[in-house]
Amino acid sequence: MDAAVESKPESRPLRIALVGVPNCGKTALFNRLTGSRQKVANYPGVTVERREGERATPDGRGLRVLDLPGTYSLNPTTLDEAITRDVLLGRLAGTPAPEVAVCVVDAVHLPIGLRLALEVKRLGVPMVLALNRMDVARRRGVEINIARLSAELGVPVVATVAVRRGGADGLVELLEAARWSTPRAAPAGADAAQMPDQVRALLAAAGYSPPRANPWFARIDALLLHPVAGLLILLAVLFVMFQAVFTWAEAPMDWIKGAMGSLGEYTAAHLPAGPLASLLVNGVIGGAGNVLVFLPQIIILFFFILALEDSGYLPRAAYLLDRLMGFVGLSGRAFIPLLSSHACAIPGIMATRTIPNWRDRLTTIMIAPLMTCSARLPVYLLLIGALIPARHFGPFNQQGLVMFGLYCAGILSAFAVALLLKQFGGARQYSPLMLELPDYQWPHAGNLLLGLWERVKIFLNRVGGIILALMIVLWFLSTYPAPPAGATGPAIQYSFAGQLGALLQHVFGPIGFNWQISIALVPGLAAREIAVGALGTVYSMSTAGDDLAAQLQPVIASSWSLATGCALLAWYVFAPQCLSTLAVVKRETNSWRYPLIMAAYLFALAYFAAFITYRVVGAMSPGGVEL
Amino acid sequence: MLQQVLVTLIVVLAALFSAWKLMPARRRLQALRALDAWSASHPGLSAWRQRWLKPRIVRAAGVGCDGCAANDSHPPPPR
Amino acid sequence: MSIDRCLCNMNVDANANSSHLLWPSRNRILALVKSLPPPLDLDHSLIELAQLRRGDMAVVLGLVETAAIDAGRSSNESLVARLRDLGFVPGAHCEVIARMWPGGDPMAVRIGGSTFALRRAEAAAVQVRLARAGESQRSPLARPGTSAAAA
Repeated sequence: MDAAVESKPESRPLRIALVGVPNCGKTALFNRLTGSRQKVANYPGVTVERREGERATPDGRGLRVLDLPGTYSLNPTTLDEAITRDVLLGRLAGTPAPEVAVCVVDAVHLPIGLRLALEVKRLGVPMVLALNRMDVARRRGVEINIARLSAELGVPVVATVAVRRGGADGLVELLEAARWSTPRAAPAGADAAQMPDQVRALLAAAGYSPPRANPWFARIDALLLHPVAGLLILLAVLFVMFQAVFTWAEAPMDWIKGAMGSLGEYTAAHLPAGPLASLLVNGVIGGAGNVLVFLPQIIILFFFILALEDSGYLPRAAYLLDRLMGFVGLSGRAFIPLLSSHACAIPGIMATRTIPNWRDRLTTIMIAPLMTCSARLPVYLLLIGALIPARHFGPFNQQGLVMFGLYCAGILSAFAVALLLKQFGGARQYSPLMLELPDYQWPHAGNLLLGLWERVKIFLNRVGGIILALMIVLWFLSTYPAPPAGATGPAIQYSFAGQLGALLQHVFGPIGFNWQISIALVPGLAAREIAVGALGTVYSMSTAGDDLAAQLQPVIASSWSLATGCALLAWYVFAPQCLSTLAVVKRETNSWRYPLIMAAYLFALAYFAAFITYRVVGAMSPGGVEL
Repeated sequence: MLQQVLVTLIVVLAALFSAWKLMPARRRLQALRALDAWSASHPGLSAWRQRWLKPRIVRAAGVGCDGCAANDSHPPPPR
Repeated sequence: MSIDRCLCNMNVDANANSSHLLWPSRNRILALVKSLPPPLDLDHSLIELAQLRRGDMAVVLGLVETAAIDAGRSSNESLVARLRDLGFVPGAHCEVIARMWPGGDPMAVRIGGSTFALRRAEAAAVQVRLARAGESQRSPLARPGTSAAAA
């Protein structure tokens, strides 16, 4: 157990990596170290992607912090864990090995974390140990002599409280003073069977006293893990989530709508009529503005997802659903990627790296886009708001019910596809569950807000970036060529977009889409919520007269039939209107085959579903204008 | 007249931006590398190249999203 | 020799090609021993974790490969290794907190202060004995030799 102290008087920031078992508070520590100065890959919510952040240090050198995926052992069983090991050893192309590995150990669960620390030590990587959640551990009666532990281990140990301001200062001081140690690397394959004994010996020598069990955890688990009550509670939680998305957001949404409307009127009033005014009002405000309106709903949805994740409830939901998912051939571990897909399929697909079995992983990837992602929300909300009257059945809102129904449709169809894949899959290797159910904890407000803020930033980036750009292009395509003199009908029909829409009408006519929808689906391929903006642009430019910045919902409500609206809803449940998702699938599966198969089967399903819906609803509610 | 010019400019910029974002990652990387090769022959652009172009190339080449530990030219944040 | 050590050697060495030796290797002998029916142990009946019911408290005795998992050898070994990583080592006290319906699959097991969800097939790899009344969880660091485990 060497303890060679190194110092590197360089001007570049010190590269450190956080390594630890899942649920040890590593991400909280990462947040504490880097604050909002994180270069979070665009996908927060699940620690799958490597997250990097920076922190200034008093000596001016700075830290660059890498948050590695949680892993139980450096003998990897999942892709996640393989990445962690490879990064530590500097084997991952494009990522230099960190200069110091910070082993984050949850003080409440010392033995399991210490085991991993011993494995890291065997690698011979420069390291320090951060004993996290010391405050909770002390309260639960944990006793440990940190100095003795450090001496026995041969590695500097520092206590951290990630959730408290200044809780990581000790760690930063240690790193700044370059007081880490570089243990001697043990030969590969040294028997792992000795580890438990070594851990026991270490803890005994350091005067360790294990924590008292918290009786509340047992009581809550008795309820939440109960086969019947647990499932009912899960359903109730999800239901409340979707109801809240509708009711809580009404006020902020109206406010945003009003603001957009006023902005449109103001612009129209102060600019001379002409192409610029049209561009700004119809293209920018009518287009991007219509998508912006859904920001409150998205915030609420993510609030629930992040809170559930932080509280430790999600793995318990995976436990409850494991049997059901096994029935359709999915691993219980697929639950968290699939739940993440409700926020956005892209982090969900990346989260499948925790699924060790390739077939399971592929199945999960294939069905992830069927989960109702947040980008579908603007489309759903628009259509439901326009076509479904807001009747109340007791405490239930009819619109909320339809929304819940759409979510269920996504999940059920995903299970159906998984079942189909299972039938044609052939013999499968067993894939284990072995999921940790972490301690319950109150969701930490700071982490929650940080997570929400990241999500808001991404949304605003998309709206202000690609969505805005595409809306401008669409405006151009919808305005030119201008209609010849003496033409009848809305101007837009003569433009490029109109002509394209007329062409697509042949394809989409049988499923009830009018030419405006057909046009909107084309830029909608780039991202789902663009269809809303596109519809806004297309309609605000086809309404005769100066009805600028008209609200989209009433227009749709008055000109579409219920059958058309429902068909579009059904289309959106399935259609892969998201090039980014297909791109990620290509990257994760390393071939063109799977994203192409995915696109093909999803479009086919979408067309089929829309067709059936259109015919059925059309037959039930004799055509024409509803409401 | 001014309006026409302004509108054309905005639309062209928007179209270029969309094309850039929707381009496959490999093409983007190729384009950046071509840009790098071209700017190498113009020493006056070396500052811009160092500060703006190189980080973007490294980020585009890396596995995963915008975070990449190989991005060493990123200066530490001011205190 | 404790049961755990016997089993571990099995996992590691059973593949060793000892056919070139004249005498049966230590591992062959151990394989022979393992194939014999387990000694009847009235005091500490060896059962699988998968057979426990909700509320049962037990002490881990060892890990075995199971036939229930249809897979290659390597998958079984990694399963056993992962269980050990999670804390299922001889001498550890565990408690079954919940079992799902139908079939009690998966089950939630509390061990070493953490709770894990295991399927029946995974839990079948863990051999335990029921904890006697009075045995507590207060010292999860008990060594396998200190409790009156089978030799």
